[in-house]
Amino acid sequence: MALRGNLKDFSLPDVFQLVTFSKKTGVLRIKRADGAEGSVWFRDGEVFFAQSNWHGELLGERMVHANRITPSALAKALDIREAEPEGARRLGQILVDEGYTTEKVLEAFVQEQIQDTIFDLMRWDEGEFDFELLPDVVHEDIGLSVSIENVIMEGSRRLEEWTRIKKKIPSMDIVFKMATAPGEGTFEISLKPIEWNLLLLVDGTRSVSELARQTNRTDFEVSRIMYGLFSAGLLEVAEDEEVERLRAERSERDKLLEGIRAKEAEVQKKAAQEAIAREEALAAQAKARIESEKEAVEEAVEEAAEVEAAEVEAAEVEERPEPEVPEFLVPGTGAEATAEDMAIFEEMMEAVLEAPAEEAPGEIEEAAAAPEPVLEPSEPVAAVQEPSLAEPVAEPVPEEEAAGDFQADLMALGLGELPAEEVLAPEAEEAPGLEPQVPAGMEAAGEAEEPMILEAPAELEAFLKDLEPVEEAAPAPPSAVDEDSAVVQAPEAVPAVEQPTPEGIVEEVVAELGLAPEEAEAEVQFITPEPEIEAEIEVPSEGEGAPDLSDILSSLEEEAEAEPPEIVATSNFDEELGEAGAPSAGVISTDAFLADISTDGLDVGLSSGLGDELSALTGAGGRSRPSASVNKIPEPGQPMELRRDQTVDKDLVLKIIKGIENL
Amino acid sequence: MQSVKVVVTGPFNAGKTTFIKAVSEITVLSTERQVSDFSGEGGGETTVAMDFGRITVSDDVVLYLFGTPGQERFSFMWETLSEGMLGFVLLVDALDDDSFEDARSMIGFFREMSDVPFVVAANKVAADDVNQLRSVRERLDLAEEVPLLPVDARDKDSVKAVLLGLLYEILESMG
Repeated sequence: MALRGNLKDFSLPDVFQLVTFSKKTGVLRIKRADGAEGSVWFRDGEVFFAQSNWHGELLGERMVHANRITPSALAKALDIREAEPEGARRLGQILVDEGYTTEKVLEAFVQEQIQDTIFDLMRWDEGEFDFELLPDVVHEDIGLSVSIENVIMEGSRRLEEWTRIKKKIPSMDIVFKMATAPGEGTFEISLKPIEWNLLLLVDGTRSVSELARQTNRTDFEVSRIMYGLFSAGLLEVAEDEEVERLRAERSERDKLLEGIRAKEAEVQKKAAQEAIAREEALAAQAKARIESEKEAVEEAVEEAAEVEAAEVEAAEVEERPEPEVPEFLVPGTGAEATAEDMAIFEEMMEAVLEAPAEEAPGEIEEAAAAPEPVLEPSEPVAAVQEPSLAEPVAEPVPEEEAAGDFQADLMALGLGELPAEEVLAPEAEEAPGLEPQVPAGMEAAGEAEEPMILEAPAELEAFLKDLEPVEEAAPAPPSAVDEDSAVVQAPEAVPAVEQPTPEGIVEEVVAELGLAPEEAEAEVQFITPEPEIEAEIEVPSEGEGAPDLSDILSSLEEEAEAEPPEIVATSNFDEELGEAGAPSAGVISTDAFLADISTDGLDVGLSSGLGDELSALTGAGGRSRPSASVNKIPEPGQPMELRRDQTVDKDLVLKIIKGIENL
Repeated sequence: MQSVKVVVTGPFNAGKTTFIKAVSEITVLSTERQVSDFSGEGGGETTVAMDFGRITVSDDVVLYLFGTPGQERFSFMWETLSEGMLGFVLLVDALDDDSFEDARSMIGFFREMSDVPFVVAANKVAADDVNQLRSVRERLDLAEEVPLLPVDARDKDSVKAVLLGLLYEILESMG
């Protein structure tokens, strides 16, 4: 059977349908007058493979752009293929065989390539086609094998979007420029990273096709984004005269820049040559000096020579440069965690730290029942009366403050004494009578050997020691200071009978103060934080150990002070967005415009590529800015069985992949 | 804001914290401390509760990376940290022969507890060192279908490649 014709007379979907109905196996070749060619292979009426030389991105390049393989890996694989006889392994197979990628990854890329090719072919409105019937198609390890209906539906969906886009971007040669006035009353412009990327390149000189080339994206992708930006009023179409003028200016700028770079390169080269010459001169001097020294050394006694050699060696060791530390490992680099991050961190920390406590309640009782150290009669009283000791401990921390909760969590584990301790340290030196009291919790757990509270490193060691027996025993109760803090923050949650150790300490302190327990508790409860207390908390530790935890805590305190208003604003704004389903007044976003070309209602299968891009890049497509949490912390006592996050679907994973690729 | 979780686990001193630091956009929150005094297992610091990093995938999706403590005595935290994860990366130091036993045991633990997808990342292995990868696969008794990827935990691109490998596994598992 020979099936020939022109796409002007028969559209590609028509041809596809014909092949499908007859369940034929063969290849459909399409040729355009401009030399573009494409082929679609069918097996038993189903699309199996497709390739084209039109705007097609080669598989290897596609994988490199997606950071799935490195350019050097691709180069090596291409070399191997060159060395092999024609018709031997394909590039993908070589990549797999050499361990650069896996079969699954390769398959995903090939499928994506095939889908894109078919879509490109469906956009052709002219060209000769010829279907050649074959007894069997060329064996391909990876193929699509999907029904033609899905291919046509997917292609039609893309074509529909393309038609809509073409109304505003009729040609790929159209040139946009930045809008001079992006909208009256605008107070916020919301852009996706790729939109920002393209905006940076929009200067009134680059056409849409040039933008696609420069960003390594397909013309369809770029057109769709430009459609959104244009519809949002951020772009204007540049007039031809203006484009010419701007292109001329750009050309001049480029020339100037090129000249400057050439000069810079020349200067650098010259500087490098001078530096090399200097180095050589210095080396010659050093050599001469060494030779003269050598002569002197020969004259000296052997012992002196040995000593000198040792000194030279030591000097060399000293001069050795510090090993280069990667930038990300340098402390202080990277953005600070936001309050939202801290909330998740804190939630997870809480879950992690609470689990062992729940598992071994008996040990807590045992630890609590251990004899408590006797307090010194006078010094603790004096110490507690000092505001620097009592007030920070008694400071109520609002529940919504992430930092406060996190600090409380750390305290619950014994990690959190740092700020309190930092305040305590000078007091403790003046009032040594506190020392027996402070490690009470530790002693109860059999860990009271070291005075851990007064020094930061010792305190952390205590934490590690606490963790060690956790599998078979409960974690050691936190220090007395922590428990005081806990009682103050939530007195009703700490029954006196069930947690005798901290209560006992409080009672003892209270007794020393000469107050009834209720009075003391009430008094402690109503202590309000004062500015100077905050300042005291901020005071850096005197201890040398000042571990990274103190950094975390101090950063949390800063976050707690700085972040909440922003969080409130952001979350409210997001809510507004969510409720309105579109940007609120005064906000420019492409979401609303791109939502017009939502894929809803055409949810058919071949792929997800475009729909995912749409939602990944714009948030449109019915999944705009969802609100959910991944942390499904099990209730204590629940059987531990790890479950995958069920809120995550395939689209979201594709979105994440895209995001990671662009990282 | 939708958040998803990926867990980075592996034996003691495999480079999990470094792995997360390489790719996290925030300063990684770590709970580390010196261990040589206590266990004698290597030097430097080790994670005792967890590491916490973040990657903003898009405007509305955030990927959180949770690093587990490596030492088995902290294994009670593994379960909690791993709950609701999308998948996990098991990181192993290819040059540390002693850690393979632990790595095998951790793989067994996670596979028993869950069927979430995972990849094994061999730290300190060059991307083209096929022989080394083969050796790691043998020493871990890894089946052929388990993805084993080379990684330099200090290198962002290398870490990205591992995360992408895991995400493709996850995608595959969704059918």
